[in-house]
Amino acid sequence: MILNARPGLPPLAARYGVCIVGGGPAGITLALKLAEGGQRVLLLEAGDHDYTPESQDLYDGEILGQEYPDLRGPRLRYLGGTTGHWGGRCLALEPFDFEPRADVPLSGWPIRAGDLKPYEAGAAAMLRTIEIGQTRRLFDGDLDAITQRWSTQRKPHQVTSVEILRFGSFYRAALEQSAAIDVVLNANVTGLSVDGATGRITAAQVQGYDGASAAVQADRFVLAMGGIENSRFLLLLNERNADRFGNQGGMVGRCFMEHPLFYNGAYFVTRRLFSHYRYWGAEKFLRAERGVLALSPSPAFMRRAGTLNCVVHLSNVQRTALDPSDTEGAAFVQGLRFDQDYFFIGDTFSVGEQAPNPASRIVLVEGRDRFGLRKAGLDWQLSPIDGQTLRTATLEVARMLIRTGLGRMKMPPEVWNNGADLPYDLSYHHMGGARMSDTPETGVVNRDCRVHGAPNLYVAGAGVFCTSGAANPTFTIVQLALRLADHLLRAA
Amino acid sequence: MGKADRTQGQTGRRITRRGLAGGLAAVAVAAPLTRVATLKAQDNPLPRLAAPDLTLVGGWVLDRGDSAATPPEAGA
Repeated sequence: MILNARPGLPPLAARYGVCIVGGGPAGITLALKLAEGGQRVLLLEAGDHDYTPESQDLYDGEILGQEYPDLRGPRLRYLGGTTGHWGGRCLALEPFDFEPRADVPLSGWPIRAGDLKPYEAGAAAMLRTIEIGQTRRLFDGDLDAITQRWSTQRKPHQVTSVEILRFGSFYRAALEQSAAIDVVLNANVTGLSVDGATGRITAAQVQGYDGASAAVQADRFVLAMGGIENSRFLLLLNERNADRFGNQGGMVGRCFMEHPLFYNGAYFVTRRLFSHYRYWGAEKFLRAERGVLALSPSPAFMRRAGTLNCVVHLSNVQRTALDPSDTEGAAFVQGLRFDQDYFFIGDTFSVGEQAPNPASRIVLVEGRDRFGLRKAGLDWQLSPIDGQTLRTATLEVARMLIRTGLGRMKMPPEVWNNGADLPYDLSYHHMGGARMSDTPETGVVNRDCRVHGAPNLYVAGAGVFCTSGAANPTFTIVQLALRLADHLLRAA
Repeated sequence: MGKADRTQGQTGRRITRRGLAGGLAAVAVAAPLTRVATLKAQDNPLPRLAAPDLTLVGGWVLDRGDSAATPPEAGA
């Protein structure tokens, strides 16, 4: 059922099997699967069913490093979390992303892609998409076509619907109808009670917006508050507990990763680009208006070039002529005729992996929120390899278009000119900060997502990512949540 | 009349739901496949260049041999 801590905290059970803090895609997935497995679940969501300023304001923080928007902007603090404004794009991390790379410090996960593969069908079902299947197919030489899907609310017969799945509204009925789940809205978790002798978490301190507070008890606790808030909460917890919770090596908040991106502008193609992509015709038909081809350098190319993973999206394909403003200054392109020399146009953008960098981190700053807790500071730092990755991959796609005679694409002069500052934009994907590692020297949680040094505290979400790959993270977040649910049910 | 004969006689005179669904599904699959096959049959209007010599002109990545691709802009 769904309860509300406004105006006062509702009566709750004396004890729960699992207490989940945060009702985004990870928290909701986890709650539903644990309830299916017979667990009594408490899901504490700090926001309401929809946006409220007083909840959203609690995301306020400081920007300390690379330029970044106000931290209240990219995230949403209500039921469903940031799926309230996401684009629905689903890609899976690839086997390559999990493996250690000699030239990338801190690369390599304690688990492999095969450990998440059993949860692909479950994640696809939660996200209402079809399974990713094979992530890469050889496209041309050193480029692979990447499989991607869209999470939509459509039924199988609604082939023209592109309404993106919002976890809060889509799973509201399931949460309301579950007798095993108590969701409490407007319930802010401001701390955890710790048994000093064992390190066990015994209770979560909950505060409403009207001054009411309570302690709730559970056997196990899961932080599913989002990449930045999980780090912030763990830093606050460690501040009061001598760094015993995943921060023995000072790794909480470190290796924060984004997916830096930039927009290249227009491209045009002859008939052959998409018609040579075996599945594109059927894919576009099934996913109306979603004709997007995603290209990535092959793992062999990345190793040879010494770059990270990257996806260049050739998107928004349309059967129309180039805008004259796009061809200005390029006589060759101006001389081409629509419907004779080229047939499709669109836009391209490049999304890159960011290397794990301990200096890129979430910290606590001196400013405090309405509950007296120190706010988060984002000290996001990029490394030279991050920009080089984007440049190299984008240039390879431009080269492929010419080599094969398939078309031409635009590129910002800053991308073309080595040494220029890249015109970065952001994906608002918050990964790392609570990275998975077999030891606390290089991470915060173990391969089961349990916080090092804590017998019953876990982390769900992209915070546990060791490396970011170039895939949008939500599909992997849901896979990891299903895997964590399995672990918690086995260990119950 | 045998069983097989009776069945053939019934389905031959009316459209079943299964038959209709099958027909619609066939059209749904055939349309994009036919389009792809048709497009594949078209010639590519731009020549293939095995080793392009890249240059940036008016924001476009071109081969130096593309007509009017000069003057090249400095860069990679």
